[in-house]
Amino acid sequence: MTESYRPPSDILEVLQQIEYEEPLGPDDPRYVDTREARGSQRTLDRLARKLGLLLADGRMYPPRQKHVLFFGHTGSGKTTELLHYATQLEGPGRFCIVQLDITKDLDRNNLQYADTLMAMARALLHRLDVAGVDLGTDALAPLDAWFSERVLTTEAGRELRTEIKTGAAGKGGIPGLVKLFASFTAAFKANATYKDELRRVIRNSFGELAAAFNTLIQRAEDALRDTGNGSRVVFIIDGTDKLRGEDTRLFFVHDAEQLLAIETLVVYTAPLSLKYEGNLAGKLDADLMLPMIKLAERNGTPCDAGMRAVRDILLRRADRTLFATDDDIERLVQACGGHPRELLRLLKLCCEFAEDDCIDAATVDAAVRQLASEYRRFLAPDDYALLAGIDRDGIHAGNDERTRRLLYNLALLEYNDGTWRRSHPVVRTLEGYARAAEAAAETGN
Amino acid sequence: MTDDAHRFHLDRHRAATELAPEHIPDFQRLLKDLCYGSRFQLLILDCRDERLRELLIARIDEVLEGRRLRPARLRLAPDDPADVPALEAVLATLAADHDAIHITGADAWLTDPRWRALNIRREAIAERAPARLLLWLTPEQVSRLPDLAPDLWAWRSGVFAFEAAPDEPRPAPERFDAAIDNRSLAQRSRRIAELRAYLAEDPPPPDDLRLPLLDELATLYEDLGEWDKALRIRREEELPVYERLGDVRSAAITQGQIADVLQARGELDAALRIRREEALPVFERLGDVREVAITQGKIADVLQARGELDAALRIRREEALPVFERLGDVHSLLITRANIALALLQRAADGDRVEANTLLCEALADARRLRIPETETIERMLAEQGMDCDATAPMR
Repeated sequence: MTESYRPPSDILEVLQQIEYEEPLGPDDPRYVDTREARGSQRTLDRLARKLGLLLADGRMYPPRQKHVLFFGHTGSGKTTELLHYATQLEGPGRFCIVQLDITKDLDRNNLQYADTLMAMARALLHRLDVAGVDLGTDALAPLDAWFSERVLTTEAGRELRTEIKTGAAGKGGIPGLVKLFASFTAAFKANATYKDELRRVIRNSFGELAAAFNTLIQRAEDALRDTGNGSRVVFIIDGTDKLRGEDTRLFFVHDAEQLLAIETLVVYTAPLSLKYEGNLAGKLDADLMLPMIKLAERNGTPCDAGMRAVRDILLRRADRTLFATDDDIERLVQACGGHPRELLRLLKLCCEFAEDDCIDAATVDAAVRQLASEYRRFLAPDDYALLAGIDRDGIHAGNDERTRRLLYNLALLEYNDGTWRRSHPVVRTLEGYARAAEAAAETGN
Repeated sequence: MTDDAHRFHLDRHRAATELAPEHIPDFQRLLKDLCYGSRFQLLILDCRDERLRELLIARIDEVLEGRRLRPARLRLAPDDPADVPALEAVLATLAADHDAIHITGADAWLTDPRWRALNIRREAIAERAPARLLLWLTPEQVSRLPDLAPDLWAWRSGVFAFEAAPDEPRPAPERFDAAIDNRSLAQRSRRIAELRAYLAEDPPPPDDLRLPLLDELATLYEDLGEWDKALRIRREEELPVYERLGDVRSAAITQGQIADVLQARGELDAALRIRREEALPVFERLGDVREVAITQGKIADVLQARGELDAALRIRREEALPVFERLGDVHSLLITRANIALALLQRAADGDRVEANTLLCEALADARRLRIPETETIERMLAEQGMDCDATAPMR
C-alpha cells in the first residue's frame, strides 16, 4: 500500500468513495494483487503467450493476428486486471498497448464492428500522435484515400467535413486523421442519422477499409519498433463484456469475420454467458478467463490467500477502526463470495445501515440480509433447486439458459477458470435456498 | 463527526419521525445515499401505496432542500414521454438544474420493450442525466427488473422497500422509564415513529396507556428541537386529558413543561407567567415542596436570563436551596449551586468570585460522586474562570 495513503475513517466518506464502475489504475493505492487469491498467477502468462511473448525471458514470437476474448463475471475486476497487465506487456521490445473503452468512446447500444474499427483507428492514431511517431504520408495514404473516396463523398461525410472544417487532406498527417476519426467516432456515438449511413459505407467498402487499416497497423509497428516504442501493437478493447443479448451475438458471432479481417493483436473483454453459448467463431481465442477470488478450495478447505486479498480490498476502502471486531470483517469477506463488486456492495450497505462511525455485527447482519433480499426478488423456486444441487455435489451443472442467467446475475459464482461453481453466500441465507437444500438432501439429488 | 455530518444526521432523524417505524431503516439508508453517494445513482424504490409514496417524497425533498440539493418530479403517463429516447431527453433537461429526480408513474409506462431499451441505454442516461434517479415502482415491477433489464439492475445503487402499514393493531410500545436517557439520535427518532404509530391507532389507546407515551413523545421532540410539535402535544393532547380527569398535579407539571418549551424558544415572559400563575400556586396548594422548589428554580432561570440577578439569587438561595438540602436531593442541589455560582460570576460584586468558586467546587464534588455528565460542564466552567478547587474549597 502506498505509504501516504490512508483509507477513509469516516463512514460517510467511505460511502462517498464507493463507485462500482471505477476500475483501479496501476498506481491506485486501493489496488490489491489478487493473482494468488484467484489462482490466476498464470492468467497474465497465458495472455502474453497468446500474443507471442514469453514473460519469463522476454522472447517475442508474436503471431500475425490474434483476437483474444477475456471472460469474467460482471464486476469481477477484468478492467482493473487488464490495466495492470498492460503495464507488464508494454515496453520496448514488447508491445505498444492501445486501450479503448467502448462504453466511453462509443454507444454500446447496438454496437457494431464498424463503430469499433473506427474507434480502434482513432485510438491507434492518437497513440502514435502522443508518442510523437511520424509515419509519413505514404503510410496514411490508403486510409486517407478510403476516406476521401468512400466517406467524404456521402452526405454524412460532407456534413462531417463541414463540421470539423478540415479533413485529413486539409490538415494532413496523423493529427488530421486523428481529428477526422474522432469526429467519425463521435458521430457513431451521438448521431443516429450519420451512424446508419456511415455503417453502410463501411459495410459496402469493408475490404478496402480493412486493407487500409492493416497497412496503417503494419507501418505503425515498423515506426514503433524504430523509435523503441514496442514491436507490435496490442489493442485492449474494454466494455465489450457489457454488450447484451443480440448485440453480443452480432458482435462476436455474426460479424466475427470482419473483426478477424484486421491483422493485429486484440484483447476484448467478454461476458461470461458468451463463453457457454457454444457458437463462437473458431478463430476467436476464447479460453482465457479471469477467475474469481477463491475463499475456499473446491473441497471446502479455506483459501488463505483469497481471504487475505478480500480483506485487503475491504481495508483499503474503509479504515480498520471503523469495524468493531475482526469477526465483522471476516463475515463481510465470507459473504461476498470473493466477488469484489459484491464486497463493495456489502460495504456500501454497511455504511448505509451503520449508526455512528462503527460497523458492528448488527450492521453486517443488516447488510447481508438486505443484499440477500435483493436476490430473493428474482430467484424462482427452480433457481434455488439448481443452486442447492450444484452446491451439494459440486458438479458443473451444464450451461443451460437458467444456469447462464444465474451466472450472469451472480446468484451462481464460478471459480478456477470455471471448473467449479458455488452459489452466492448471501443466497444461501435465504429460506427458499434452505428448503431446496433440504429437499435435495432428502432426495439425494 | 463534522458539523455537516451532525446536521445531516439530525435532519434525517427528524424527517424520519413522521414515518411508520417499519419504514425508517430504508428511509435512513436512502437519505445517506442521496446526500453522500455519487452524483449519478439509480435508486430503486419499492412502494405500492401512493399516499405513502407522496409522504416519503415530501420528507425526502425536505432533507434534500435543507442540504441545497434540488429535487424534481417526473410523472410518467402511459404515452408521455413517447419512448426511451424521449425519456432520456426529459431527464437530461431536468438534470441540468436538479440533483435528484423522482420518477413516478413508471408502472404503466415501463412496458417490457421499454425496460429492455432502458437496459441498453444506461450509460447514455448516466452521461446525459447525471442526477440521483429515484425510480418508484411496485414490488412486482422490481421483481421483474433483474430479468428485463439485468444491466440496469447490476448498476443499482440501492433497493429500498416501503410496504404499506400492517392491518392488524400495533402492540403497545413498552414504557421507557430509565432514570437517564442515553438513547442515540437514531434510537430516539425510531422511538418517536413507534410512539406516533401506536398513538394514531383507531380506536385510540386508553388514557392510562396513552398519557405516559404522549409525555415521552413530547420529550423526544424537545430533544430533537422540534418545539412546535412538543408544544402541541403538551397543550392539545396532554393538558386537556389531565384537566378532564381532574388531575391538578399532572396538569400543573404539564403547564411547567409548556413553560419549558416557551423558555427554550426565548418566550421568557410567557414562560414566567405560566410558572408563576399556573404551576406554582397549584404545587403550593398541594404542599408539594419539591415541585415548588423546582418551579422556583425555573423562575430564577428566567430572571437570570433577563439579567435580574439579585432576584434570581434570592430565589435560589432562599426558596430552592434549603428545600433540596432538606430533601437530600443531591442532584438538584448541585445544579442549584452551579446556577448560583453563575449568577454570582455574572454579577461580579465584591466577594462574588470567591463564593462562586466555593459553590462550583462543592457542585463538582457531588457531580463526580454521582458520575453524571454535568461533571464535565462544571470542570469546564472552573477552567474558563481560571479557578481550581485546591485552595478555596476542600473537595468533599
